[in-house]
Amino acid sequence: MAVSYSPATMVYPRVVQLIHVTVFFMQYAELFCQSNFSFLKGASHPEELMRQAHFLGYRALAITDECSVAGVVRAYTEQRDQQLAVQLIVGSLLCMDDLQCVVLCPDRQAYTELCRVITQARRRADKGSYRLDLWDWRTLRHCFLLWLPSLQPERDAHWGRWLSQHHRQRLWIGFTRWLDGHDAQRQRAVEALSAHWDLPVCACGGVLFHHPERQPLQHIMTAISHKQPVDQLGEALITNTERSLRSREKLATLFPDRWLQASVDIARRCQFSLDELRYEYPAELIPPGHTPRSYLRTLVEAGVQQRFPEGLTQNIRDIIEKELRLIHEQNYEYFFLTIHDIVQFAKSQHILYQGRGSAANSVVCYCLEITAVDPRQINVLFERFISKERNEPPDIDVDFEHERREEVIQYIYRKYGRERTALAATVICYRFKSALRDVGKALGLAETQLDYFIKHINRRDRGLDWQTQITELGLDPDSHRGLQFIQRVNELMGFPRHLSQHVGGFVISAGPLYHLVPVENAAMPERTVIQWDKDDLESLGLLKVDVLALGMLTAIRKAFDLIEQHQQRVLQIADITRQDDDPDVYAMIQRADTVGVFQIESRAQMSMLPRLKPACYYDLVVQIAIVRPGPIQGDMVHPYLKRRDGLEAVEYPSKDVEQVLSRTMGVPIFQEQVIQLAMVAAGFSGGEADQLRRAMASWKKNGQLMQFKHKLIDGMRQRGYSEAFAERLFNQILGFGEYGFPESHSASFAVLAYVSSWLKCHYPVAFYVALLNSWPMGFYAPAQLIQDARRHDITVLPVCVNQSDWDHQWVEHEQQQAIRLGLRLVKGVSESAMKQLTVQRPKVGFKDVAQLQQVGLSREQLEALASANALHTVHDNRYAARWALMDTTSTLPLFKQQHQLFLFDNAPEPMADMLEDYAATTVSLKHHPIRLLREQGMLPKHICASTLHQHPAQTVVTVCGMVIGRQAPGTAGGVTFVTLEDDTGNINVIVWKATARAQKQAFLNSRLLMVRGILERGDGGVTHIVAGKLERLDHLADGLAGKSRDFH
Amino acid sequence: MHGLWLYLHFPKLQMDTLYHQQDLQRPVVIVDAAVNAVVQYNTQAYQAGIRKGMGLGHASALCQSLQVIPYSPDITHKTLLDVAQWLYLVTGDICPFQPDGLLLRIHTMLSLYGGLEGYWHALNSHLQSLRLHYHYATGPTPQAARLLARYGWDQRHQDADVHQRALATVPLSNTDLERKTIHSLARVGVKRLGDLMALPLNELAQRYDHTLVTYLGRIKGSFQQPVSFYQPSERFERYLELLYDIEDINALLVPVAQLLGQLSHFLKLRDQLSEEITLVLHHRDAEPQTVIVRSAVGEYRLTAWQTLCRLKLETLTLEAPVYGLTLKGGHAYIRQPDKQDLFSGQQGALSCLQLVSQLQARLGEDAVFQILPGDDPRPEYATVQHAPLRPMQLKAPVSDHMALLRPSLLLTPPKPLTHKVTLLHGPERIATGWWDNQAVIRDYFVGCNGRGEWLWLFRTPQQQWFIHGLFS
Repeated sequence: MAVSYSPATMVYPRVVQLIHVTVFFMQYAELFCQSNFSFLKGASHPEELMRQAHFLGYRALAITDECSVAGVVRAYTEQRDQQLAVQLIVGSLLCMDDLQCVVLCPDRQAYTELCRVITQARRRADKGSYRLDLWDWRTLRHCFLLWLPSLQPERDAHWGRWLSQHHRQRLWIGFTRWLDGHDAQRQRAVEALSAHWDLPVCACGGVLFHHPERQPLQHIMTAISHKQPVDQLGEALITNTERSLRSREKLATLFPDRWLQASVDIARRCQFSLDELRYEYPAELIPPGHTPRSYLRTLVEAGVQQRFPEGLTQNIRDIIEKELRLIHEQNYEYFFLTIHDIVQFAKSQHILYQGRGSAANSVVCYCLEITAVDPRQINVLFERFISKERNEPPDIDVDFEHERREEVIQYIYRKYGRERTALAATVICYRFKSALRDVGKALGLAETQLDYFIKHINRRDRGLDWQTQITELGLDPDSHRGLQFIQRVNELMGFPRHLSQHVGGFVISAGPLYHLVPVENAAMPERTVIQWDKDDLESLGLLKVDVLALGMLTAIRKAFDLIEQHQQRVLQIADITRQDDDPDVYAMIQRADTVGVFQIESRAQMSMLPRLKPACYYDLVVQIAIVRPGPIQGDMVHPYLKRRDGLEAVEYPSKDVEQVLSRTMGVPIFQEQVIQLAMVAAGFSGGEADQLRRAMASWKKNGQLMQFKHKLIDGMRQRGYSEAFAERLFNQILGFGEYGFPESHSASFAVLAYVSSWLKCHYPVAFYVALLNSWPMGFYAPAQLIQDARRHDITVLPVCVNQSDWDHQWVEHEQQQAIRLGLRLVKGVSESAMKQLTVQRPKVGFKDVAQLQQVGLSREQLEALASANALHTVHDNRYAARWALMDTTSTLPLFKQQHQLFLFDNAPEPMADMLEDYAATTVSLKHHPIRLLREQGMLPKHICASTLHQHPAQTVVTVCGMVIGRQAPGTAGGVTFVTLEDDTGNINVIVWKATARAQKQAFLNSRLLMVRGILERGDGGVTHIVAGKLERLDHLADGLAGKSRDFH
Repeated sequence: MHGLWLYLHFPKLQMDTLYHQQDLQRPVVIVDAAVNAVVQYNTQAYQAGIRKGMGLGHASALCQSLQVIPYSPDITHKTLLDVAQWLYLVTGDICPFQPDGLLLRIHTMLSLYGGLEGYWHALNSHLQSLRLHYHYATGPTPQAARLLARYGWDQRHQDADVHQRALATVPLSNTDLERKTIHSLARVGVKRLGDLMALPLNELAQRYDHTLVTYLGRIKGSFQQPVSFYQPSERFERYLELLYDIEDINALLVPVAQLLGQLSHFLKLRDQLSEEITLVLHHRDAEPQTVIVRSAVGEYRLTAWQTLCRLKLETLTLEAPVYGLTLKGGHAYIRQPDKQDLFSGQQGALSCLQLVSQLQARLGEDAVFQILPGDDPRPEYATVQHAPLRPMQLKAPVSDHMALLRPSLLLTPPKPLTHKVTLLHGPERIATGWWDNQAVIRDYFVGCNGRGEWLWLFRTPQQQWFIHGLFS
C-alpha cells in the first residue's frame, strides 16, 4: 500500500516521526477551544491544550476564551518555548443572547478589532462580566466568524440573514459533534442553513479540556458556578467526554472530509501571531528636535553634572557609555525616559521615591535620579545592568511614599489619558484552601467539615503532605469520594479564578491601549486592568512601569522635613549615601539596635546582625538578602558565616564560578548568581536561563523547575564539575524557589536600610516621630516604637489636648529633645475632628472642659480623649472627665457639681489606670504591667530583660513579660519566636514545637506570660531563652488590651 | 413586690442531649457557625483550654482531635420545652427564657412544699433525673434570679440583703446589657453591678438610653418584668388500659374505635383535622409496638379513621398480648371547608388523596410512589420515585426540539443483543457518573430488528451490545 503524505507533513518535517501513523487521516485545525481562562468552564490550562494539540498532530489550535484573550499568551509562550509544531490562532467566543460566534484573528487589524470589541463589551458591564451590542458585531470588519446556530429556527433565520449581509466572505457555520444525542438534528439544521444562505460549513470541537480525564474537573467547575453539588446538577452537566481534543482518526469518522478541510483552510489564512505586537511608547516624552537616543543622552549628561560635580572617573564614564549603548541596541530609551518623567514629577512634588531592579542599579539610573545607589559606594563589581544575552527585559520598580503614591498614579492618568494607560492584571488562582473548599462543596461535603479540614491542615509541614494529613483528620482516602476529592483538589489548584489588578504595574502606550490588549474594569472604581499579567507582558517583550508604595519612604521624607525644620539641615537620600560609611551607624547596626529600621528590624534579621556584623554598604546588601527563606532553606547562611569568619576555606571549582561567587565567599546568595551559574557552569543559553528564572519564581505553583534538573546537572558534569557540586547547586536553587532575592533589589533596599539607620543614629527623635507619623507601616506597632524610644533615653510626653497636634511632634522639653505624642494615637478619634480642635485651641490652652466642649466635637470624640487622659491638664481624673462629657441633657458647664459622686472621688488605681492607657492608646507611659505586678508582689521571682546579660549561658532562668510578637517562619522547622516585653526591655524566647504543643493553652492564649527556660548565648552575644515551661499570667491583669502581633 | 423567683440556667443543653446518646470520651465542642464561636463544650474540651466564645480556628489549634458539632437552635429549643414539661409535674408557674433558661415563680409554691428547702429538694431531685448541667439562683425579681443563675451563684435564699450583696459583685460583662453599654461603663470605671447600682438613676438616664434604666429597674424590682407562663401543649393523647389481654387483631378494633371516638370528639370540638395518628400497643412482656396511621387528607371523622386503622392493623402481626393502648393525635389544624364541587371532575366515591391513603395504609408507606422524570443522564437513574400526589418543583420542561430520544420501556437489567439489527440513529455517547462510583461509558443507538421492533441499544467500550429499551 502506498503511503501518501499529506502536504502538512512537509510543513512540519520535525514531527513526521511522531505522527507517521496518523498521516493517513485528514488534517485538522481546532478553531473552537476554551481554556481555563473561560473561568469555571474550561478545564485545562492553555499550555496543556497546546501540547495535546501538538501531540495529536493538529495543524492549528485556536484559543477562544469567552470574551477574553487572557489565556493566549500562555499558549503562545508554550508553543514558542517547546517549539511545538502546532500553529496558535488568537480568537474569542462572543455571545449575545441567541447569537454565538467564535471570532478568529487572521491578521493584526482583526486582532486590534477584537481587542476593541472585547474592551467595549467588558467596560460596559461590571467586573467579571460583559455585554455586547449589535454595533460591536457590525464593527468586526476583518475578523473571521464561526457562527454556532442556536437551533431555534426563527432566530437562526434572523441571524443567518444578518450575518450573511454584514460578514459574507468571512463567515462559516461551525458544526460540532458532541455525540450528545443532538448531532443529527444539528447536522440537519447546519446543512439547511448552509444551503439557504450559501455559507460554508466548518468542523469544530467546542473543546473544554485537553484530555477526557478532565471531565470530572469540568463537572466540579460547573457545580462551583451553579453553587450546587455535582450529584444534583443533572442536565447542567455535559454527559460525555467528547469536548476534549480528539484524535484525528476519530474526527475523520465523525465529520465529512470537506468540513475538516475547511478548518485547515481557515487556519492557513490566519497569519496573525502575537510576536507582531510591538509596544509603541508615548511620543510626547521627546521634545522636538530630539531623537529618543539624543534626548536620553542629554538627560544623562545633565545628571552627570549634578551627581558628579567633581567630575567623572574614566571607569564610570566607560560604564555609562556601555549602558547607553546597550539601551540603544535593545531599544529601551523610551522605558527609561518614561520612568524619568514619572520620578521627575515626584521630585517636583517633593514625593520621595527610590528605584530598584536590575536596570535600576545602572549608573544611567543614578544620573537620571531614578535611584540613589552611588556607583562609587559599591566597590565590589557586580553585574549591574540588564544582560543582553540573558534576554531579560529591563526591570525597574519605583517605590514611592505610601501616603502619596496616589498622586503619582493620578499624574500618569492625567498625562497619558485613561485610554492609553491601565494596570497589568494579576491572575488570581485557586490555592489550596480555596480549591479544597470549592471541590468539597461541589462533592456535597458539609461546610463545617471543610472548615475543620482547612483549619487543621498545616501546609508548612514538609514532613506530611496534605493528603496524608487529611486522612488523619478522618477522610477515608480509599473511599470513592475521598479519592475523588483528593484528585480534584490537586487538579484545581493553580487554576485561574479571576483577574485582579497588579499592585502597581502600569502599561502605557502611544495609541489607545485596546489596540494592543483588551482592557476591563477593575474592582476599584476608575481603575482598569488589561487582560494580561506581568509574565504575559514579559513573554511578549512588553514593558510595564511599576509604581509601588513604600511606607519607609514616607517616614524618611517626614524625618528629613523635621530635621530641616528643627536644625535647618537639608538632607536627601543621596547626600547620606554619598558620605563614607559611618562607623557609628554600623556599630549601632551590629548591636542589633534596629527597631524601626528598614528591612533589618525583624527578629530573624536582628538575631543575625551581631553575627554578620555588617560594616559597609555591601554587607548590608548581603544581610538583607541572606535572612530570607531562600538562602535559609538552601542552607547558605552557615557556610557564609563560617567563611566570613575564616573558619572555612573559600574554594572555587573553576575560574568561571569564582567570578560569579567571589563577592559572596563562594556561596550563592542572590538570584542573579544562580542564573549566572547556570550559564557559566551548566552551559545554559540566555533564553534557557530566562526560563529557569521564571520557573524559579513559580515553581511552588507548577513544579516546572524539576524539568531543568537533568539539564543543569548533566551540563555541569560535562564541564567537569563534580556530581556533588551540581546536586548541591540544584538543591540550593530549589530552596531558593520563589523566595530567591535579587541582588538588584537588595542593593536598593540596603540604601533605605542605611539611611533609616543613619537617621536613627544621628536624629533619633526625628526618626521615631517620622515613623510614628507614617504608621501603619513596618514591623512594629506604635507602642513598641515608643518603648524603644524611651529605652534610648528619649523623653516621651503624653497625649494632651493643650499640647498635642494630630501628628506626633519633636519638641523641646526641659532643654532636651523630646517626643510629644500626637492625638492620632488615641483610638476612636478622627483626623478632621482633631484638626478642628487644634485650630480652635486658644493660645494658652483650654482652661476647662466646658471650653473644650464649645469646639463642637462629637461626644464620642471627646470621651475618647478623656479616656486617653488627654484632658489631664484640665481635669485630673479621666473617669470623672469622661462621665461628665457623657451627659446628654446639658452642655452647660456643669463640672463643678460632678464631684459629689463618690465613685469618682479617687483617681483610678494604678492597674486600672494602666488598663485605660492600653485601651485608649495601646501604650502606657506611666506604668508597665510587669512593673505594677512586681510591685504588688504578684509575680514569681524573675529576671528583667536589662539584667539578662549578667546571667551565664546554659542556666535556667525565669522571665515575665507581655507578649508583643509571635513569629513562626516557615523556614524555622516548627520553631516559634516569641518576643516578651517587660519594663526594662525585650526578651527573645524560642519555643520548640514540642513545647508549644504540650503547653498550647499558655502558648496560644497568653498576653502576659511567664517563661522558665534555658538562657542561651550565641555568636555575637545574641541572647535568647529556650522555653521549657510556659505559664499564662493574664488573670493578673484582667482586660489588658495590648494585642501581640501574631505571624503564622 | 415581695416575690421569690428561681432561675435555672442550662449552659450545655445541646451537649447534654448528646451525652445520653453516646459515651463521649473525645473533646467535643458545639460551634455556632453564624458567629464562628464555641458555644458549648464538654469536660475534655475544657481541659484542653477551650472556652466559650473562641473561634473554631483557635479551638482546633488547641486541640487536634476536636469533634465539632454545629449548634442547633431547634434541639435546644425543644429540649428546653421538654424540661419545662417535666418540671410542670412539680411546680406551677414556669416561664421559658429561650434558648437556655427557665424562670420559676416559687413564692406561690413554698407553702405546698413546706418552705424553700422542701421545694428545692422536690425540684432538684425531679430535675436530677434529666442529667443536665445547670446553674440556679433565687432572686427577688425575675431579672435578679436570672442574673445570679447565669453568673453561677448556685444558692437559694429568701433574704433580700443576701441577694443584694450577691448582685453587687456580678461583673457587668455577665449581664444582659448591650456590649456597647458595658464597654462604655467600663471606660468610666464602672465594672460591677454594685458600682452601677450605686449611681443615681437620673445620672444614668442623662447618659444612657432607657434600656439600661429599665434593666436596672427590673433587677431592683422597681419595674415589672413581663412574664408569660408555660402552658402544656393541647395535643390529644389518651391511654386506655384494656380489661384483659388481647391477642387477636380483630378484637383490638373495638377498644381502638373507642379511642378514635375520643379523638374525633377532641378534634370536632376544636374544629381541627389531623393527618396522622400514632397508636402505641403496650405489651405485657415486650417493648411496645408503635403503629402510625396516616391520612393523605386531613381527617376528623371516626368512620374514616376507623377504616384506615382497620386496613393498617390487618397487615400487622402482634408480637405479644396487648394490655393497653395509647393514642396520640399528630399535628392538628383548623378545618378548611371542602372544595368539592360539581365541576372539579372527581369520579367515583374516593378522591385521589383518599385512594392513596387507603393504598398506603394497606401496602405500607413506602410502597406507593409516583414516578417522575429526573435529570440524571444515566438511563438507570433517569426516573425518580417521589412521594405520591405531593407537589414538587418541576424543572422547566425541555423544549421539544432539544428533547432526547428515549424509549418508554426500559429493560432492567439490559439484555445482551443476540440477533441482527439495523442501526437507524446514533451514536449518543453517555460517559458520566464518576461521582457516585456508578460511572457508565456507553454508545446508544436506535435499531430495528427483523420483527420490526424498534430497540434502544448500547455498545460498551469492550464492543459488547445490549438492548436497553423498547420504543412503542
